[in-house]
Amino acid sequence: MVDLENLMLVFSASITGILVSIGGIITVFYAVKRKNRLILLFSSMWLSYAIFWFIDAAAHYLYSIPLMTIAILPQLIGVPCIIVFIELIKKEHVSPIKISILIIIEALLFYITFFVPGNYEIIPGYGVHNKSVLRTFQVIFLFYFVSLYFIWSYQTWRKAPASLKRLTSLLLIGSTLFSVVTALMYAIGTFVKVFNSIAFIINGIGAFTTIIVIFKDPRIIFILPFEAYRILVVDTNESVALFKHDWAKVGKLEETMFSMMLQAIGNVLDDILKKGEVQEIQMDRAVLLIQHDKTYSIASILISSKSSKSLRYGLKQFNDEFIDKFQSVLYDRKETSRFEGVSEIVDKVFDFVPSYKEIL
Amino acid sequence: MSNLENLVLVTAGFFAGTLNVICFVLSFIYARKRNNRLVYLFSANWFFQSMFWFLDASAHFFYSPLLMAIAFIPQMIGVPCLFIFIDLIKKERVNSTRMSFTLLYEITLIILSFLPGGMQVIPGYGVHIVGNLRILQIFFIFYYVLTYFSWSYLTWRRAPRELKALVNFLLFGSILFSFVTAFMYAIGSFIKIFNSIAFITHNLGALFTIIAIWKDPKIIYILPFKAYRILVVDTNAGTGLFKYDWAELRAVDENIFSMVLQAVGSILNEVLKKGEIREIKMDQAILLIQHEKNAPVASVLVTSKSSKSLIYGLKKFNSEFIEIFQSQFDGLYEVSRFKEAKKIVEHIFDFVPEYKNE
Repeated sequence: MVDLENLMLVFSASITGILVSIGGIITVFYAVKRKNRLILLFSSMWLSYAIFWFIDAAAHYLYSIPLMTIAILPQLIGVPCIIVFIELIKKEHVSPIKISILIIIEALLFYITFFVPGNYEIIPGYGVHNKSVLRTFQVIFLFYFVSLYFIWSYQTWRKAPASLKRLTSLLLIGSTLFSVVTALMYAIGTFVKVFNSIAFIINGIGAFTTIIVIFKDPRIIFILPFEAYRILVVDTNESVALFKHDWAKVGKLEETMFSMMLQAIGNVLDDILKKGEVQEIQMDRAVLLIQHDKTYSIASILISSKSSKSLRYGLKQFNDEFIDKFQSVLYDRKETSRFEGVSEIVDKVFDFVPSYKEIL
Repeated sequence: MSNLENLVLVTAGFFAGTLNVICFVLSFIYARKRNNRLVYLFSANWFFQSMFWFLDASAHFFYSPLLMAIAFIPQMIGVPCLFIFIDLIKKERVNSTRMSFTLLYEITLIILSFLPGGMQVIPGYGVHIVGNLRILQIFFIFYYVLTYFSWSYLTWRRAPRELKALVNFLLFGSILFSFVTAFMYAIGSFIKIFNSIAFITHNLGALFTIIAIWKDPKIIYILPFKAYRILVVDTNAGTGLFKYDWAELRAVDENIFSMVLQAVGSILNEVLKKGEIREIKMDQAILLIQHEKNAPVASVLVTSKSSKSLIYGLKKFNSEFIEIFQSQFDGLYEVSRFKEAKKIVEHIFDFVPEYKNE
């Protein structure tokens, strides 16, 4: 019976390590393929976490306190990666307060783990059990980290468009398992030790579910930062709209009038202030991002709920590809049917933008 | 001779603490007067630094390593306050990487200072910091003073002519605070009395920088933006009502400007139904726009960068303008009626540096 507990603990930690490392490897491949540094940050979290689980399993198997002590290191590296990832996808900058709190907790946890004796206990037939101050700090650390992950997935689920609702529901289930359910099992595990092993597995399954969901449709990570409504290409000389694509319903637009208005404000401001072209027009509840090309007198305009680096970078890339593909036909702009192939560029460049058309 | 060294060290420590108290009082009074949370943060640094110096002096006086270790705690609280202040006035956002690094460094320093072996009691001199703790402390102080110096150097380089004399004084103070102190400290490794001189030059430098800022707080707004112009336009008739310049900008036909702004605002609102225009970002400038639903006027501020202080100021200016001139919005445009708005500008935007004669 006693040895069975150890076996369960080692087995569950190893299973969790395997699940999390599969998630980590999948996301690394995706990040490398898409050259997406943000996803690389996400995958480094899971890979570090997998290392933690494998060392943890080994520590229980070998009844080794030094191994259990070392296990904390990859965890201390991985958690800031996921916090930075969440912050960057939510607001494109990291909250100094959140990261400072994390750093303080991590520094204290590191100090207690390595410099304060008497925090580990070897229980024959079970494994290495951490206790007293170390246990308290570890609980605070884990609670802080899983709460932030849960809050992010909850907000994503709440704001998701209909087309992504099913997947984000899975994301929410995964993160609930990863956070709330794991915590509950862990609490019961204080009295009935076998629940600790169940908590490990549930944690791994939860994490794995969230990773698979994000891998299936990475647009999920762009639900929170913005809601893109429309992209337009206009001829700035003739005030003619050449192309339009909608991601969400936005007021009925008379493209020609819109184009004329943009041209007017651009000209007047440039003439009056001599401070260059208009790049962005911020309204109460929307923003217009504008990318000009003086050689072909073309401007690409993206209407979104918020400005974002990904959208601005995408708009620039889109504008360049548009000109690259259609420069030979740009001499006869009135024939707008020639620009029908632009949707492919939109689909390729803005494949990360969630579509809200269905729910409206 | 030995006791004299201790006396000089203790006196220098107390003197440094007193200078820091003066820095704190000056900056705190200004923060309170203007209800400026940013300057509160700045004053907090000097408060904690003064606590550090008094505890440091006491540690030397009582030959107490424990007091010396405790002295580091207020210093570790004060330095992040200054870093946050500098980041906020430079970019309105705190650099998370720098903050994480600072906190990690500080926690390591505090842990080391309470572990045995980091301090040595030298009879007749005081408590001397040795080994890894000394190396870490030197790097930390370098990091701290160089951050402050780089800010004051950038401010000095970009200051308008009218503030040049004051920013020269700011730069002089920060040189004393950083380089001169480091030099004195280096000599102090061989001739201990120079350590005491370093304490005093360091804090005199700090006081000079505070005096410069206290004399004209516009200094702290040199880096975040360069405001060019504020305009008030009538949104019904498309007429310019008032104009004030902080920096040289092309002559504007306010009426055309106002008409275009009004037309674009109306079309966008009509088409997108996403409210009024708040900001127009150009390659090298930004237009901040403040509307009021119940009055036919909009205030437009042209600046190099957007800033919370400017947006807040513009909102306040627009409200005061409407409050004072409400009775004048009768459709008859005798713009000389609005000349008095200059006083509102000078009152609300007293923190904005002028670049008119550049």
